[in-house]
Amino acid sequence: MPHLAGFLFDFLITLLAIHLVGSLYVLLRGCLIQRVWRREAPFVERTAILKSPLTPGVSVLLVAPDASSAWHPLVRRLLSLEFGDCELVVVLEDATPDELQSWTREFRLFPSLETVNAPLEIAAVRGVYESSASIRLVVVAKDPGPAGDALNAAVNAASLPLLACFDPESEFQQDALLRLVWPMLEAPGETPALACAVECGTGDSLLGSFAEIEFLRSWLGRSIAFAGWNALIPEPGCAVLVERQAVLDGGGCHGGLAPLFASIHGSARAAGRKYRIPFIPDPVTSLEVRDDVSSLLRQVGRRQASIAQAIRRAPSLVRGWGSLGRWGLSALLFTRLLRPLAETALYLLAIVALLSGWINWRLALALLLATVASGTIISASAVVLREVAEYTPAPPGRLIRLLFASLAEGFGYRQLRDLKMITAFFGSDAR
Amino acid sequence: MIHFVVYLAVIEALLAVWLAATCLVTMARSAWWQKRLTQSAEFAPAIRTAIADYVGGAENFDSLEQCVRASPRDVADELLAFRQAVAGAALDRLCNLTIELTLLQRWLEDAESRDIVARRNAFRRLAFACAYEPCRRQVGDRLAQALSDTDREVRLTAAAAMVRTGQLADLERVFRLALTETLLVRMSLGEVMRPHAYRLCERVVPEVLRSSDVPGIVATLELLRAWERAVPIKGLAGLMSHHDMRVRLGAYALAPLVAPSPEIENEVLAGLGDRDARIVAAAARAAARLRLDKAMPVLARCARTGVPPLLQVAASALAEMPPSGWSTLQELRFNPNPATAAAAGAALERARRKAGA
Repeated sequence: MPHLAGFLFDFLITLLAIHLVGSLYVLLRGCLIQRVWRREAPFVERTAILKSPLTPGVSVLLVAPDASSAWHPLVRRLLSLEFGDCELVVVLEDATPDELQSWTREFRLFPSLETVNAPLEIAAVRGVYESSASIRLVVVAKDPGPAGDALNAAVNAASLPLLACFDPESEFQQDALLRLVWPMLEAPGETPALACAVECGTGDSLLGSFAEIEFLRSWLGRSIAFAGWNALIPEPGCAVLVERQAVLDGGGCHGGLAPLFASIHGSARAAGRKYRIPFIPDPVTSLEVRDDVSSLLRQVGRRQASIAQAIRRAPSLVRGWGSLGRWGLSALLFTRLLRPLAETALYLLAIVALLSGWINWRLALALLLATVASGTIISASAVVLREVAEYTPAPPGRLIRLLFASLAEGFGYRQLRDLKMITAFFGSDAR
Repeated sequence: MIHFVVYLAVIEALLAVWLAATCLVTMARSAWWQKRLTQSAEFAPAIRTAIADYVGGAENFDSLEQCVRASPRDVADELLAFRQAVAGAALDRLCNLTIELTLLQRWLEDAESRDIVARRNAFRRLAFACAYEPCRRQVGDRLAQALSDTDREVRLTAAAAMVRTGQLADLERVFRLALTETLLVRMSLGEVMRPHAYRLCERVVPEVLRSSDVPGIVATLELLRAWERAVPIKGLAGLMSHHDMRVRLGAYALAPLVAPSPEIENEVLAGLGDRDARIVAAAARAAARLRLDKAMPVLARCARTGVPPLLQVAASALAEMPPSGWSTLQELRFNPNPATAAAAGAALERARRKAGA
């Protein structure tokens, strides 16, 4: 076997071993943090939060992906959120007169004299509308702008100190805001933002189990463990709450919520402020994932695109690559891009080496099994550590199903997922 | 290369052994939990029936004693579940059961536990039992001692139970505890203490407001605001010119809830000319709530010369003071400053719509 190929094999295997040990460390840390959290989390009296005038007001922001009437039901659901002082700001980009007419009819909108061009700079605003019905709804119609421009318009239009964002694809209960706001009341002024867990709604099939494991790994590792290091960035599908002032201090949004959180971390760290961005491990929203490969891979792609956005934005942040602490962004880059690249390269190299006769079939099989075992150990650890972290164990049937899926995902799904992660990282959604 | 593959395989084998052991333990725990759930589901109907019979007047509680021997936790849970459904004499009988079945004694022992979860459960149950005087006597000062527990949940549960006794000394202790807790806990305790607001304002509130404990004063002002009821507070005008900004902001927010006086009105007017924009905004809101006509010219000046978001606050304050506030806004709609004109127009429009609705 040529020396270069041998060196490459050794290098890639070492990367995978580092990833395996590192991932287990992160999962274990997430598990320990969750156990402490379960013990110390306060019992939240939601009625007191709902009734008290001390609860800060929340502007719920919705950037509709398009201006069609398909979003009316979501707006209705957002308007029915239970909260004391709450308003809804909807931003429509490039709405046609007909589309705007349908919004006007549905929500009894009339032109408002409010201006929303400041403090954040945004593309031209076509009109601001308020509802004449007894609902607090502001609709901003504007020209299309760069990534994050619509969110900036919503921030400008918001009149309350806290901003909430829900993923248009997730489901949520009416008391979602009440379940979300309490960490801000625990440490007011020290909590510029927070995110919550998202529940994965799947079937009991094998593909559904793959999706569940994906969510479990992310919940314990990227969410809980990273929140423990104060390096949390939100998952697609979850709900977030952000102080409006923190968004303004960070210079607004430049992409999705992940880069926004990275920017808030960066600004707070640069200012040397005492702060924390907590994660609420109890699910407040839920995301339905269909039992088919394309739906599963789409979720993988969404998650990957949001991380890629944050990583791409890193050089322009106040603290650069140190925005999520010393290792936060580098660790994300390693696990989300380098690991799938290394594993895919290892497979390709093994095929070439086998065809060229550099390695025999036994060694090629050993390589395949080693990568499969590495993935299985990480996934099964996530399943088991969840049980250790939570006081209420899952039924034995569910445990067996997930453990079997941890093993099965190594034969095909994991390789597909790696390819999706690589393409999504460089895809248009990640910009 | 072969070496590296072997190293990786060894690492994986070691991890697999650890994982297999953990898997076995979690499976066993899961199976035990399922068994417990099934057992509880089997017990629950019998326990509920026995409790309902006893609360309804039956004197025999032998079946309940058997249930307590089999699963005291399930009986305790069912008793607590009944609490929302009964009141008066029925509640007394329900609480009396905790003495008869020696559950109260068990809970008092659990209250000494070093395990936080066991302690929390014990105090939740004791708090329920303390609605009944004989139980309160047996519990003694255990609830008061729990106010200094290391666990916040225990402190909160004990505090809420003490407020329910309605004794002034207990109320004052809980009030002082609330001042040292987080805003979230203060909001919960504030809600429980609301019915006793007037009694608390007689002694403990003035004492704290007169003290030099700034965080205590700020917390007291927050609690008073959270009660959202007219409170007899003297010396609020002095707090509106306090040296600490947080106290000043809290006092301005509370101003509309106390009896109007010339001193407070003068402080609000002075606040509108303050150098700090936060104070001006707080004073503008207070002026609007107090319907202070004398503040109108200053508010109009703020709306004319202020910068966002202050001018919006001033415009909103004028909008809350019809009819003269509205006519001022009508004039301001044609102000050469576009920000002022827009804010005045929007505020007026919103106020008219609100009045129309």
